[in-house]
Amino acid sequence: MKKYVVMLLAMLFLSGCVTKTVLIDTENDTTERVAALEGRDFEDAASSMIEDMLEMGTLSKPNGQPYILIISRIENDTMQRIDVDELTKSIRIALMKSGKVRVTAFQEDNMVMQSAQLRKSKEFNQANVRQKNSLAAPELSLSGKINQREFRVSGDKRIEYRFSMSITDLSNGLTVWEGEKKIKKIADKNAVTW
Amino acid sequence: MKNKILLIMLSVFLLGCASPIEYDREIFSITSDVKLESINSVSNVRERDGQVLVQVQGVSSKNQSVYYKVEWFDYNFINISSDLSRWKRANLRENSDFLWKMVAPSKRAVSYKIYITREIGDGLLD
Repeated sequence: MKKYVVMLLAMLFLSGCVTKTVLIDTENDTTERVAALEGRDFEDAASSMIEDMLEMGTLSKPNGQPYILIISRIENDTMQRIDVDELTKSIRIALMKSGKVRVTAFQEDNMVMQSAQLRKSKEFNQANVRQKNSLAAPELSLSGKINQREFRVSGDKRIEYRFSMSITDLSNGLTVWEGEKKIKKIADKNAVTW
Repeated sequence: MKNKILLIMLSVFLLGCASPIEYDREIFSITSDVKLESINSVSNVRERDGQVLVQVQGVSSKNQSVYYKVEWFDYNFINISSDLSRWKRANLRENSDFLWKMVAPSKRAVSYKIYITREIGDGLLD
């Protein structure tokens, strides 16, 4: 009998330890923010820059055809380990959906270059094999930088993140668009941002 | 004394009758807790690339924080999902003008609807 009571108590104790996990609707996520960069910061920065790019109209080719864009270097000058793809992915998806840009992946997808080796193989139907002189060369390049600065203000920590990006015309080296988004946060002085 | 009470009751009654603002309900969906003096939108199609640009302007009745977002639709009134259709927050000042600029996510977008509300919840799904 005593054994049953102990078991029952143990079960009650353990069931009290079950942590609740809930899904968040990303469309209207207003839950508490953290001091470090998080997904919503990247979404805000990307959305703001996409709007600016589309509003400026500089990505509209005179003949209506899409530009070929390559994603260049995005420098992470923060104290955090960041996957900069979080920022560039949203931008490239939105730009591709806009119909103004097509992104070349020859730099990031090794298979683009390696697929040329199939030309030598008799195992493959050559109709599907990429021929010489068929890769689309990039016309525009997207590059950028993410900065972080921290200050002490009235005992709190003030953190400023700056996302800056630019699009360069590779035919002449001129910048056709430049954008910047600042995200500022005030957190407890002990908040960790790295 | 009786006259004063009648006067107070009349003014309370009339206050309750304050007419809501007129706006185009095909373009705007505004919740009743958002207090505005006026709101309207101007749109134009950029000649160069067919991109729709929208400017919303209005006057707020009080100091308030609101959320707004725009949904874009194609010729068949099918919603074009986009990163640009996100809730944005704006602080409006009493009797002050506000101006929001919006840009269509692609040339396919030909019409739009703007949603304005005070509260969007915390996003937690039960």
